[in-house]
Amino acid sequence: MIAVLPARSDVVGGDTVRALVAAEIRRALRSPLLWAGLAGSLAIVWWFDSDGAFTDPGAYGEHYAAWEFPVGPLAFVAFLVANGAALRDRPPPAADLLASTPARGWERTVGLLAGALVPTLMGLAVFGVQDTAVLAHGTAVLGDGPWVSTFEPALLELLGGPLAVACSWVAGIAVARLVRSRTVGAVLGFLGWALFSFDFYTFLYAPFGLFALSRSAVVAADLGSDPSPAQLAAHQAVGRPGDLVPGYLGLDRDLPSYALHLVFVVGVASLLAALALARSGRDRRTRPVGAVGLALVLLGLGGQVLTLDTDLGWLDPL
Amino acid sequence: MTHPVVLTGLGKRYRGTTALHDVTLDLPAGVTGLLGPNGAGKTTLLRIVATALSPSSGEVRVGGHDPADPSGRLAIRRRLGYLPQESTVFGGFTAFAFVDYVAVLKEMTDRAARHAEVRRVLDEVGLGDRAHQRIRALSGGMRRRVGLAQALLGRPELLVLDEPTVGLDPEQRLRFREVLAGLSPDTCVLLSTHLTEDVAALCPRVVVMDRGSVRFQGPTAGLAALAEGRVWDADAADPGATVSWRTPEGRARNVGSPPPGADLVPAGPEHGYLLLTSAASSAERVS
Repeated sequence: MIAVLPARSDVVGGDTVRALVAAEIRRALRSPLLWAGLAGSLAIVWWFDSDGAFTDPGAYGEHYAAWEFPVGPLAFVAFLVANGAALRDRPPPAADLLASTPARGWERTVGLLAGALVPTLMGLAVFGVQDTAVLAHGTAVLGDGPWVSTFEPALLELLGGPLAVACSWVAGIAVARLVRSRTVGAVLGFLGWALFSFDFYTFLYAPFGLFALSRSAVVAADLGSDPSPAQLAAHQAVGRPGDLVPGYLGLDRDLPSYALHLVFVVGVASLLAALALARSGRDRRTRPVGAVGLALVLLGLGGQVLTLDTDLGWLDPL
Repeated sequence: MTHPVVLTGLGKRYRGTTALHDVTLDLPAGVTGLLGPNGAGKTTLLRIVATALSPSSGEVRVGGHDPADPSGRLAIRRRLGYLPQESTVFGGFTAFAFVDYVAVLKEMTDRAARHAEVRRVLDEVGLGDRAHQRIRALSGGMRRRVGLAQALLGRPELLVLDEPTVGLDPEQRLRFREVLAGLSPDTCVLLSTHLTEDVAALCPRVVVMDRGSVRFQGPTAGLAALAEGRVWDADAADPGATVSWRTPEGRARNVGSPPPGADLVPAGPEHGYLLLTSAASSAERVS
């Protein structure tokens, strides 16, 4: 396919795109579903805080690994709201009406993508509240019994949740541009949310941790059921065998790896945005968005593999 | 002088079905009614003029611009107001928010001026006091008027209206006629309808379509003239009539070839329309 950059006289001006962006942001701000998602996420923050999930040493030590868990409800509704907004033109008369206006589908999609700003800021608020709640108790706790470390949440850790929400919003638009069905969109959104929320433990480890759209800065290494003292001492903290994990876990807060995870998430969001734009009409400006996305995905993945301070034994089968 | 809308040899096929066949039309400024039964190709024709659909063959020129060319298409869309057939969409928007959204798509970027224009068109269709109600909470007629309001944004030079009076009560239809009467005489309006009384009241020109082809184009009076001397009343339906129906007075009104000495009555556009479309039906049945 040859992408075409429309001549200046063929497309609406930047001021129209900016007006569309503003209109979509205002519309997102008025979405009751998004505010309900925000309330759901804040409720989890409150639950974790009142339960001492991040701050009480002992049985809850590994919960630090679930730092981004509260993002679930907000990310889910962000997907649904974006999907519904992108399917505004689904019935043929609506599609005809919108198609007969000067702004093309491409510009409309740019406006929709910019609407991500609203849930992203909501996500930032959620993690700001969580951060404040943890700091009010002093520090966050990682590990069990004699193998406990304490941390002040890093500024970087405020960003993971909001970026996951932004990615979810963009995914909602991309799915709408691929499958023009609200039902399919809702089912896919639910499955994605359930996967990352209820199965978050899977994404604690490599290799799945590398591909997670939402994970904490904690990386874990399986130490087996009878680790040596040297193995136990090699990690910032250790989790005891529990219901979910049969062996000991070596736990480390690895901020460089986490930063690269965030690069990966931005890359995925950019790739999804490029996909949504490509499905909205031909425009050469789509290509750089996709190229940047691909570069960030590769950088994020490759960088995590190189910087992960953990056992790379999972690579052996490869 | 070039007419605002010129269609030459227009054809449209959908998966083996011919929706339009060799349609050639010159539409001048003013209101042109587009009459035809269901499946006549009216909506397909309007969608093509509104640049929402590409023809399979033939040429379209709107204001001298070719919609197949991107810059021509943009130029047409900048001068166009379009009301599609159904208005049951965008239910989650308020009337104001929906019209405002379309105004943004129509490049009205100055917020204050845009809002003033949105209020103007909503007032014009009599919905100023319902501006902040959700569209899904409005009646069918009100939704139709919201659709009409967005089509009127920016005082377009070309207004394409697909069955705008469906769902409107008599008072609203009168209001609609006032709105059209208030448009600039330079505005080209193409209005599709099933209702011949709308055409008689609004349209100096009329196009009759049936089965994808144009059966008649010309002054509305010319459509009535087609049936002059071919409409008569009788005590019973005449077997020689193409169409017959019972009048409120209890007599049978017949349209077709009258017998000698028939009680002729004045013909209107609806009689000409019935003659054209029922003749086509008869011809098809015979063949």
